[in-house]
Amino acid sequence: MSSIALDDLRAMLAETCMLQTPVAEIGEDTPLFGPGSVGLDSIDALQLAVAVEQRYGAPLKDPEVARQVLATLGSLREWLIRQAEA
Amino acid sequence: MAEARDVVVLGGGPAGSTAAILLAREGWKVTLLEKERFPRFHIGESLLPFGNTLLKDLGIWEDLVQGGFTVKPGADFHAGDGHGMLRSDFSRFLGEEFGRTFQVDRASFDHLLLRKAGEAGAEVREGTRAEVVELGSGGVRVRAHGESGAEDYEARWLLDCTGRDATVGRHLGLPKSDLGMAKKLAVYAHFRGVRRNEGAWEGNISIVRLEGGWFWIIPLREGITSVGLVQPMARFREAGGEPREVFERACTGSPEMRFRMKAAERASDWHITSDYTFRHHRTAGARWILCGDAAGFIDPIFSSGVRVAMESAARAARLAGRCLKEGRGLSASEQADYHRKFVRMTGAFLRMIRMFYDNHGFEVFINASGLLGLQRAVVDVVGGNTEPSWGVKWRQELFFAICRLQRWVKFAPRLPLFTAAARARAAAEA
Repeated sequence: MSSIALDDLRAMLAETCMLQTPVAEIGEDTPLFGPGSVGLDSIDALQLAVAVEQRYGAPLKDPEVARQVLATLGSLREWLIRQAEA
Repeated sequence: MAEARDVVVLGGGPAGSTAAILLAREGWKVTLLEKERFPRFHIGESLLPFGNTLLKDLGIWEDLVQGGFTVKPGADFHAGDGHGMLRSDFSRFLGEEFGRTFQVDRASFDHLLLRKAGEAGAEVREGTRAEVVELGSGGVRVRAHGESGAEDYEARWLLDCTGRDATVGRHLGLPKSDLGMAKKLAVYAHFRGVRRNEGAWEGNISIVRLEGGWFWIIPLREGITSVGLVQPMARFREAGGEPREVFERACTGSPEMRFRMKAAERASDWHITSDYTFRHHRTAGARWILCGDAAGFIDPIFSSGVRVAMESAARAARLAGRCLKEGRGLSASEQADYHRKFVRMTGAFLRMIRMFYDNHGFEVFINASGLLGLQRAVVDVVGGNTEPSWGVKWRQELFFAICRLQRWVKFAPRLPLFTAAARARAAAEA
């Protein structure tokens, strides 16, 4: 049983991306991309994917998959829990 | 010898008990006839928060809290390949009153409600099957077949809450429509050891969308989880084998289901139910009203069954109560009005159901949180609100418009679940 803390993901987000929003305000289901979101762009997505692979050893190569997995911190967290047990 | 009653209620599920409680409480002489002996197993274990008000009104809310039923704070929707999810957090969008509800094993829930009907003063007869003898303009007659033989009842009113048995619908041969929905089959069982969500989201229902069907995962009390597969009948036939084998293969084929079911052990028999959507074209007469599934059954994907059942039964009870007071039958316009409301309520869910089964619609739905806050548009219906405020309504129109346009314009990112399946099909053809 693995558990991944939301705060660890927040910290990774803050280190990897140029955030306009204070990281503490980014909740589990705050959208990261698209209108009305935190406002990350495709470069951020790429960097985030690299950071995820480095820290958790879970590769995110397919851009379509990355779009879904990185939609929110919540979706990333659920995905990482599953990768750890696959 | 027929005994006279004010109301005879056929069926003791949530619709029947709701109607019986509300009418008996007003002092009407109510008899409820239920074919089975409770508790009994039943499908449809997830409640919707917009039903909370009625649960409280019926005096059952505290029983659910005290009874340790699983608190349901939201609903999760997953793509079966594990790439894509939408979490609907009720308290965030729907406020305190509708911020959570319960997952219930229906054996206990239905029994609780039926006992309330007895406590409210209704005469409850279990193990009693009923058939309609006459639906007149001044009253009704039914024949009850109980353990002590057949007995006739006369009443001024009849409420048909017999679920998909649709006793009155069959008796009158009422025309009905399948509303353009394919015939489906559900195969399900209770399990132990199903992997649940972590933390505050443990009680969520999880819906896992496959390319051609879906699973429900409903966490119940005492470590039990209800898991079921719904697929079109045609898919079951194509797949071949026993329905439980189709269930097992579908689990193996979905990374999300493999993760959930890794340590699962079955804790009940397998159950199989047909999910044939239908709605009668007429749902009320001078002295009778159809409630819940007896009036119409719609696809269970949004857990609408109990909500529609109880809400329509409460409406029917109010109408019957008013007519009893005034010593008259239901007028043609009142019948039409009841029917219109039933159509509107089921229609709100049907719109979402059609969206869910459409791949483009589902792509927009699962990405709704990242699309102009469209999640607000769908959480209301996911929570069971079929008459939302204007502010929600226009967002819903926008949401459904985007669902239609998604085929041509990529508003939401494509789901790998569908693009991979399309690639596989193309490769097979080439």
